Amino acid sequence: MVDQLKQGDENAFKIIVTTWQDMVYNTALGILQSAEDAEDVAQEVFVQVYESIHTFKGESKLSTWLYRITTSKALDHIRRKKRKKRFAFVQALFGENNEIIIQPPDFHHPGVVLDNKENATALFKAIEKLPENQKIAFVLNKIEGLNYQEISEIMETTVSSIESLLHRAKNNLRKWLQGVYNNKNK
Amino acid sequence: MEKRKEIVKILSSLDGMEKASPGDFFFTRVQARLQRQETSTWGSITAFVTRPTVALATLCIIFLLNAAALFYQRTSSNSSVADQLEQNSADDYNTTLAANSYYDENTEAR
Repeated sequence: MVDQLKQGDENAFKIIVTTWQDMVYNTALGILQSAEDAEDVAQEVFVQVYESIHTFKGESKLSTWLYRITTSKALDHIRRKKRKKRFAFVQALFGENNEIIIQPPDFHHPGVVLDNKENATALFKAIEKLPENQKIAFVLNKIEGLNYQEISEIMETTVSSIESLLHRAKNNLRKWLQGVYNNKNK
Repeated sequence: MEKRKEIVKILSSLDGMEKASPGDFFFTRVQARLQRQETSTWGSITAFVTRPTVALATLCIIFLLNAAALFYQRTSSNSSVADQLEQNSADDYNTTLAANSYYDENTEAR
């Protein structure tokens, strides 16, 4: 399939998109926590796949390569959004921009079981606060269901460092969730 | 204890979740984006070239290159004039020398 796409076969591209679109979109959604942003990033990922398929040497699996593109694009998207937010804030300070900065509503993942909806929303709020690497490792493990070995291949690091990343991520989440629990039961 | 249980419950709230999908006609949207990107590449190149700062910078570079070329041409033509003068005087000197040696040879033969 990859070889066919390298030769410019449109049909091969269509098969690749339809095969991997859920995986790419679901990963992006887990990191970005916005359906609109996830759709945007998923489209960007496949545009990049189309444009740079010739750089794919086949040393790793196609799914690993797709995960790498998705995570890096999603992180770029978050950074871009943060930069925009900061700029809008500075503009608001100088009175140049009168637009109201709207806080995004709570995120509800469409795949979460109804009974867990409220807890999942609290967890997603905490995931948002995680440092980039911990967030990626946690999303790939919990939302995509990948094992440590697969995550280490995507993040191009060792299995032990993934273990340590996930351990720290869980500790951080526990800490923040304790704070949420304390506030709720005051 | 209650708190710990609650946190464990929250942490495991994503277990067994289903994958989200981007919705119908996703491939069509990707194709449309690809086409938009192709046309916007040329658009962005034109927009970049016609930016006042880029146009001004290009003009400045052209002006500087012309000035530099003119300067080098002038210095090289000056040096070539000097070389020519030097060559001429050297030629004259050689002719005089040759004439003198001819005269010397003739007087010695007599």
